[in-house]
Amino acid sequence: MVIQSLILTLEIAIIATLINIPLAFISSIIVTRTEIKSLKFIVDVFISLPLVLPPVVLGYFLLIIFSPAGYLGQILTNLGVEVVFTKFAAILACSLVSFPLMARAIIIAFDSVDKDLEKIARSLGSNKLKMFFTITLRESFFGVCGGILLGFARALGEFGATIIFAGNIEGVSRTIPLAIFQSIQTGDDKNLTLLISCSVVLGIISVIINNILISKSNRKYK
Amino acid sequence: MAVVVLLSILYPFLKKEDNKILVFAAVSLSDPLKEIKDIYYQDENINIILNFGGSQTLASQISKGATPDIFVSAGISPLNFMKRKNVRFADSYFLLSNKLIFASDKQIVDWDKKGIEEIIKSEKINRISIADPELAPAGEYTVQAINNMNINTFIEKKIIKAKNVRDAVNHMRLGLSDAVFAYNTDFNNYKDNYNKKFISEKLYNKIQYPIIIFNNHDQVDQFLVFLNSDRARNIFEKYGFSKP
Amino acid sequence: MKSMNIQLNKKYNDFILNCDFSINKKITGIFGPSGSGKSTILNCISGFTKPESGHISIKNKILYDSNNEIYLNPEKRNIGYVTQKSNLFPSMNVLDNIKYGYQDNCEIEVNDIINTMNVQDLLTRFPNELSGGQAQKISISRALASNPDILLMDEPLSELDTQSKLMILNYLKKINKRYKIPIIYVSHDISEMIALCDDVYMIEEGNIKTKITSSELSFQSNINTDFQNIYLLEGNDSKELLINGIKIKVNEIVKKTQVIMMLSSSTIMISNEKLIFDVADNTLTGVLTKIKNSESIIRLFCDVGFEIVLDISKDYFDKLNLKLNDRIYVIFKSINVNISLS
Repeated sequence: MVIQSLILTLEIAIIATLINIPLAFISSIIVTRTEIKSLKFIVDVFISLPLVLPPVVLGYFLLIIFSPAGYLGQILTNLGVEVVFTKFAAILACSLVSFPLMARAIIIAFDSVDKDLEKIARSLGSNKLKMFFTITLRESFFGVCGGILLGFARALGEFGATIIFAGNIEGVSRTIPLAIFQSIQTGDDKNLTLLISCSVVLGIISVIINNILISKSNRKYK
Repeated sequence: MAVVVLLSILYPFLKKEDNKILVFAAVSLSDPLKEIKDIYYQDENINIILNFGGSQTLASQISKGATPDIFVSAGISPLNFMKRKNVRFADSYFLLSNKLIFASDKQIVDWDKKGIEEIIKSEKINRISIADPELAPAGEYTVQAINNMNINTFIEKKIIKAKNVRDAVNHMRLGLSDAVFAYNTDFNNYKDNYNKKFISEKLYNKIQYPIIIFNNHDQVDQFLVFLNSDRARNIFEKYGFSKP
Repeated sequence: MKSMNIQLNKKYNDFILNCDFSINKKITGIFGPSGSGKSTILNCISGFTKPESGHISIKNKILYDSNNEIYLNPEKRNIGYVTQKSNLFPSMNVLDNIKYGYQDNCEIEVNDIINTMNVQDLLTRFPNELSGGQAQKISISRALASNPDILLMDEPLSELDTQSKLMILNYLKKINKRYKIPIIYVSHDISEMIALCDDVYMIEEGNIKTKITSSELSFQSNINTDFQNIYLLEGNDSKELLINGIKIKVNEIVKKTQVIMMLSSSTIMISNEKLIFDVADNTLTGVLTKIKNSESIIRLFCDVGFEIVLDISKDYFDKLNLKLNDRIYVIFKSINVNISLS
C-alpha cells in the first residue's frame, strides 16, 4: 500500500509539474514583459486566485465544472471522456493548486535579473526576444529551477482539492497525503508510520535539492 | 504541438472504462469492502472502484455533481442531506448495522456476570471515554444509551469526550481512560486484551448503514445481489458489522 | 570632419535637456555634476530613452528623427555601451561575454580586441573572479566586439582604484587610436576628462552647446580635494618622459609604449625665485596663469610648457606674494610621479 501510494504520488506530481511548466512560463512572460495592462491584470488574477482559495474550495470548483451535470462535463461525457474521480482529476487538482507557486517564483526569478544586463545585451545587438532567451532565461536559470521544484513539492503534498475532485481511491488518487488520511481513519498504525516517514523523506530530499540549486547559483553570483 | 503531445500522454488516464462500478463508502467500511472488491474482481472481472471518505463529505460531493453508482453511508443523516438537496437516486435500503458496546481493558472479576451499571461503579473504572456527541454520531448513540440506562448521576464525573470514536478507543489504548463506549467494529483491530459487553439495543436507535443506488444497470444490480449474499455478509460480520 | 550629429530635447526632472553638438572620430567628453542629465543623454543616443524631439545621426545613418518619426531600436543602433558597473553576464565566462555581440562579419576581429586589451589570460574566468579593473577591460572588449560605430562611456572609472583607473584610461586612448571609433565619455571627474578627451562639452542648466577648454575645465575643479594632473605620454625606454617637449624625470624605466602619468597637486612645490641648488629631481620654469582661492588652500595654475596645477596654503601664498603672470618655478619629486602600466 505504501509503495503504491509513493509511486502514485510521484507519478501524479511529476505529470502535474510538467503540465504547469509551459503554463507558468507563458504566464510569467506575460506578467513581466507585456505592456498591455489589462492582459497583465487578468493573468495575474489567474496566478493569484488558486493561491488564495482553500484547496478544498478549488476541488469543489473543479467538481462542479467537470461533473457530468456541469457544462464542461456534459461535453466531455459526449466525447466518451470522464474526468472526475480519475487519476487525471488528481493530476489536474495538483496542477491547479501548485501552479501559482511555480508561476510566482518564476516571475520573481525573471525580475531578479538586473535590468542593466538586459540593457547592455540590447546595446550589443540583441532584440527583445533574443535578449530574453540568452540573458533573462539564462541568468534566472537557478531561480526558475527553484520555482519548478517549489511547484513539485506542493504537488507532492496536495490533499484538499484532490480528495474532493479525484476522491480517495486506491491506485487512482490515493497519494501519500490521502493514504495518511485513510490510515488515520482506519486506525492502520503500521502503514501510517511508514507513510509519514515517506512524506518526511520526500520533504528532506526537496530541501537538499533546493540547497544544491542555491549553492550552484551562489558560485556564479558573488 | 506541445498540446498534442501532452494530450496523448494524458489520454490513457481519461478514457472511460466500462468494466467498472464507482462506489462511495464511509471510511469505516474500508476493510470489508476491500476484501469484497478483490473477491468480486476474481470472480467477475469487474473493477469495483472504492472512494472512501467521511459520509457527510461524500454526500456533499454528490450534491455538487459527483456521480457514483452506489453510496454506502455511515448513518442516515447524509441520506437525509441528499434528499434535502434533491439528489436523485434509484433506490435505497439499509445494508448493514453496527452495535454499540462497552469495553474495558482492566481486569474486572466476573465481567460476564455483572451488569454495565455495576462495572461502571467499580473503583477500577475511573475514566470512561466516549465520542463527543456534538462531533460524532457515535457519541449521540452513546449518550442516548447512557440516558436510557439511568446511570447519569454517577457516570458523569467519569466521562472524557474524544473528537471521534476512534480517538475514544485510542484513549483506552494509551492508558488515558479505563473503559470506552464505541462501535463493535472499532474493536476489530484492537490488539490488546479487553472485555466487551453489547449494550441492549432497546436503549438506542438502531445504527443503520443505508446503501443508496444511483443507477440500476445490470452490472450494478448484479453487484448488489453479491453484497446481500451470505458470502459478503460473512465478510462484513468478520469485521464487526451486523445485519440491518 | 563630423561623425555624429546629436540634437535633442528631453524633459528631465524639472528642467529640459537641450543638446546640440557634433562629434568627430576622437574622444569627446561631456562634463557636468551629478544629476545634470549626462546619463540621460547617453540613454537617448543609445535608444533606451525617447527624447521629446530632435535628430540623432551617425555618419549617414539616422538613429532618431522626430520630424520624420524615425526611431531605431537599441539593438539596431550599433552603439557600444560601457557603464559604471561592468555589468558582465554572470553565468557566462569572459570569452562568451566578449563574443556576445560578435558576428563573423564584424569589422574588428575579436582576437585583435583580445590582444589589444591584453585579456588573453582571463578568457576562461567568470565575472565574479575578476577585479574591478579587469572587469571593465572585459566590458570594453565586449562593446568593441559588437561592431559599434561609436562607444558610449558612462563614468566607467568611478568604481575603480587609482591604478586601475590609469590603466583603463590608457586602454581607452589606445583603442580610440587603433580602431578609430569615436568615443563619448561622460564623467564628473575633471582630471580624467582633461587627460583623455580631445573635446569637452559642459552641461550648463540642461544645455550642451559649447565646448570648454581643458584650462577652463581644470579651473572648475573642487579645491577641497587634491587635483590629479594626468598626462598621456609615450615612453622611450628611459627614466625620462616628455610632455610637449619638456623633460620630466620619473623613478622607473618606462618602455616605448603609451603610458599615463599622474601627479597630485598636493605634492608639487612652487618658488618665485630661481633656486641655487636642486631640492628635487624636477624643476620646471613657467608662468602663473590662474589663481583659485579658498579659505585655507590656494590652487595655482601654471604654464610650464603644459598646464600643471598645484595647491599651497593660504599663508604661504601670502608670504610668496604671487601675482598673475609672474615667473615661477615648479618643483616635484620623481617618486611622486605615478605611472600606469598596461
